[in-house]
Amino acid sequence: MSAYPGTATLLEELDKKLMVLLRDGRTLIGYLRSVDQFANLVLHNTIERIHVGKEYGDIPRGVFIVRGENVVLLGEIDKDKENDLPLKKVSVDDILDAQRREQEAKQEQERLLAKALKERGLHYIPDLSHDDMF
Amino acid sequence: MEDSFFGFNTSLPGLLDEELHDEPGQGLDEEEEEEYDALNDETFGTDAVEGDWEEDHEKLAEITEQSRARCGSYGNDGAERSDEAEHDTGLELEASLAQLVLEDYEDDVIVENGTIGGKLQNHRQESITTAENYSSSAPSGYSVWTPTKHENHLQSTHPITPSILPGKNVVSVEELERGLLSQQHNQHSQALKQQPPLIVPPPPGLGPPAPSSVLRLEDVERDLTANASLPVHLSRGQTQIVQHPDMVLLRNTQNAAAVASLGRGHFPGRLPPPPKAQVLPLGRGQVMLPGGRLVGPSGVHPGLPGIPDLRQLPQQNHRLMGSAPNLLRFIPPHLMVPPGQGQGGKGIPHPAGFPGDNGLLFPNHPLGHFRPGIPHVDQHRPGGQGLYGPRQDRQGAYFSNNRNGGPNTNYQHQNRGAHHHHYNHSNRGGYQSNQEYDEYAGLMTTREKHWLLNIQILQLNTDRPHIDDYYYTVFQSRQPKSEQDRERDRKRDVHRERRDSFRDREPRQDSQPRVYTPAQFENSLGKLQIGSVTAPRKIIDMDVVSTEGLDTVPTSNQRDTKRAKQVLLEIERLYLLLLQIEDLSSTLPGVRESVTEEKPVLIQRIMTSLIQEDRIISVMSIRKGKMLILRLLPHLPATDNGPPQILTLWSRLLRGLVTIGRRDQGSDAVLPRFHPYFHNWVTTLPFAPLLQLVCSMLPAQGEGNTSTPTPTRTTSPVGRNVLSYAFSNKFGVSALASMLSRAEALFPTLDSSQQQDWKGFLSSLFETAAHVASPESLPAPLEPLSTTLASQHFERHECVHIERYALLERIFTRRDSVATAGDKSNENLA
Repeated sequence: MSAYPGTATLLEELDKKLMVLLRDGRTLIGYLRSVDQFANLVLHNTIERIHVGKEYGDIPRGVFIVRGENVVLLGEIDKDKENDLPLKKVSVDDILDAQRREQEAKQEQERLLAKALKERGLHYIPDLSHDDMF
Repeated sequence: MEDSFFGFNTSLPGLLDEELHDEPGQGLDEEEEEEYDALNDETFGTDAVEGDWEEDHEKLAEITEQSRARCGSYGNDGAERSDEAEHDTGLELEASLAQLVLEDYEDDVIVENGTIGGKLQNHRQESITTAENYSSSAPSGYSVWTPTKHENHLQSTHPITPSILPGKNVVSVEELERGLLSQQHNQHSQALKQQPPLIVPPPPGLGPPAPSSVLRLEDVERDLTANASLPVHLSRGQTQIVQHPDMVLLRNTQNAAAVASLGRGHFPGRLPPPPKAQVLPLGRGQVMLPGGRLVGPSGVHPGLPGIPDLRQLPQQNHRLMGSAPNLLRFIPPHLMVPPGQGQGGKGIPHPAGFPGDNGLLFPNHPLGHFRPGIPHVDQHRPGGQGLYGPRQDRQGAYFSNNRNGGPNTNYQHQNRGAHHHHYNHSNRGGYQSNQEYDEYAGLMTTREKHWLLNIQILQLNTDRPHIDDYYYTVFQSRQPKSEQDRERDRKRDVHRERRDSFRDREPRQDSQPRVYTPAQFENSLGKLQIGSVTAPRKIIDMDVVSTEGLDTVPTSNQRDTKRAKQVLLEIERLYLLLLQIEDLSSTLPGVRESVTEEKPVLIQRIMTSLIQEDRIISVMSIRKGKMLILRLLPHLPATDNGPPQILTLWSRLLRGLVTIGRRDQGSDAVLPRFHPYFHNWVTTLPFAPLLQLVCSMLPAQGEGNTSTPTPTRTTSPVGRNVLSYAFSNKFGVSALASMLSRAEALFPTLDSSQQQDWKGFLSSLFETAAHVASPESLPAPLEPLSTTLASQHFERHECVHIERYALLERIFTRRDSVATAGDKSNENLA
């Protein structure tokens, strides 16, 4: 860090527990074991954490190799604060249910919106090109 | 997920030899078609498109083969090498994947290189560089891609594999885990009987032929208990090595530990026991079975235990050199400090050569010095359990030295200061902040880290820091300077702006067309998408694009917007030229040389653009445009030798004074700053251009660019407009004053017709002045005329009433200071 001020490298994050946000909206939490020049990540003991409202659920995933271009951001997890989350942890099934319901609600909203616009003579095309969440 | 490993069937198949003869891809396809098609047609089959990389591979295959043997140095530019290796690897992968399915050692086998079932290399004393899976580019020296041929090795592995795969010796992971779990809860002596330690037969090169070395697990167990050389206490995560005459027993409690702790509290207890897919930290060139059976870099080699079989080490020296970091990295979990430590109740002390940060077990000196550790191991080898005691200490001490050099540790040293109560050690050997045991820490060796850092540093290198990284460079250069110097520099560099790639790109085409080759990295598939200064990714060119459809008639509003955008774009373009001009007089190194065109050429280009119809007015209506011209003016030659466009420039400017002046209101009016340049230039003007200039402020009878217009007394509203406006504008009145003074200076030289012309202008001036509001409210000229000069000038025109020119005198002789204004006016009246 001091050798090249104004620079940063992922090497300092090795063996740390990180939360990685991917472009498709997924959140992974795992230990960063290895990186490379493309910022590909090797995550170990990874869990995928799904957040729905104030609840969350963890799905254990094992080892992940993430292609660097799919990472939006990542950050170190504070182990102390990790235990004091204001969120409520639920089981995987529950959270997947909740997620599905959330998705359905969203789709329902869009459908209503398209319908309403159509009644007013406007044509609503939902953005189908969104590969990324961001 | 536990059922499959990347889609492979992980249950024990009953298949053996006959399936090995199958076509490489067959077995795999049958089983995995619906789940995972590793051999998809796109990549491996007939549908594969002959893209760039394939051609490259084919072309460079031969070269790579030869060069690999020749140059073994790390860091070789091996783009071709990796390409070639990849091509071969494609086929190899098929073979190895098939092999993988068929040769199933219980469950997950990590294929670190494509040579499962590949050539047995252990017994060969190859140097690291001639090892077939050596890749100079990979930091550890071993790559995943090896060009070993599959077929040769099928036979060679036959004698070995079947012997390792007697059903009774192989247990599934569940059984193993169950055993280990039960071990935890029971007495150790009993546990020892129950738990199924695995046999790691010595590699064929060293030990007796494999079949004879394979004993039943139970037999070994009995042997060991008889020898009473077993550890009594194994704490979690420890793996124990017990010396047996022919083989080394590797007891692995890691699974148990993992199971028991459910991830050691890193995650909440919901995590199921590390499944069969648990990947044990292996370096490249290793295949590790969760039971602790280790496979050497050459492939599925049941006999190679890596470190545990210490007889291997001297012979494997070379191999270990390259793979030492990798080989030894997994030792901590599996190869714990001998039992003596357990008894010492030290919990989990530093195992011998615990990788920690740099991941090196043996003293991999940061400078890459491999040797020292190996002899030690040899020495201690016969010691059996006492083996790792002394070595461990040494390693530990050595180890801490290593880590102090790593970049990681520096940061953690700082970190330590910041979070003193959280970090006891800085992740020492995998210890997290809460003294938890992170056995997978240090997967990335120091060498690999340095490799990556080098790449990153390489990208920072530049020959032209002032151009590539202007702000930082200037900041750095200013730091040690004194305040005075900084002030001086600041004044000089006030107009410096960030260079951009556009400017850098352009000159290149003229001089030497530099071929841009994007950086190629080893073991990378295909070409990289890197944007750089010289060859950026395709950027969206700035162009004014109409947003509405073609059929709609563009309204005037849209046309205005479009015009405005175009003006802005033009200003940007002109700025680039201006910056080049300014760079010519830069003192910063390398900047001046970067401008390839001559100053007059650049000026010409700017002027040509500004002269265009109405361009000057639009440009001057925008603040940035005003600044552009203001910065351009010092570079225009002050004498009359300058380009003829200067006259046009000023003429147009004066003509559009109304618009420009109106836009230039407020305290930040820029127009008055134009005056000094105008003044200096006017004082050099011959009469003809001067007349042309003043006529631009009069209603034009045809665009008087070339022909001398005949100024007449005019009551035309247009003409009066400019003039009358000029009175109320600071720049306007100053410009008039300058022009008048020049005319006065020129007057003796004028012939009668010229004088007539000038008188005409003055008449208009008087006329306009008559309608002007009180002179006191008007701005004073920046270079007020002296009263004598003014009176002298106006007196010549006797036809004019004295009041009028007195008024004018007042106007033009006023000074800015309030105090003198009154005096002057009194003086004039007198």
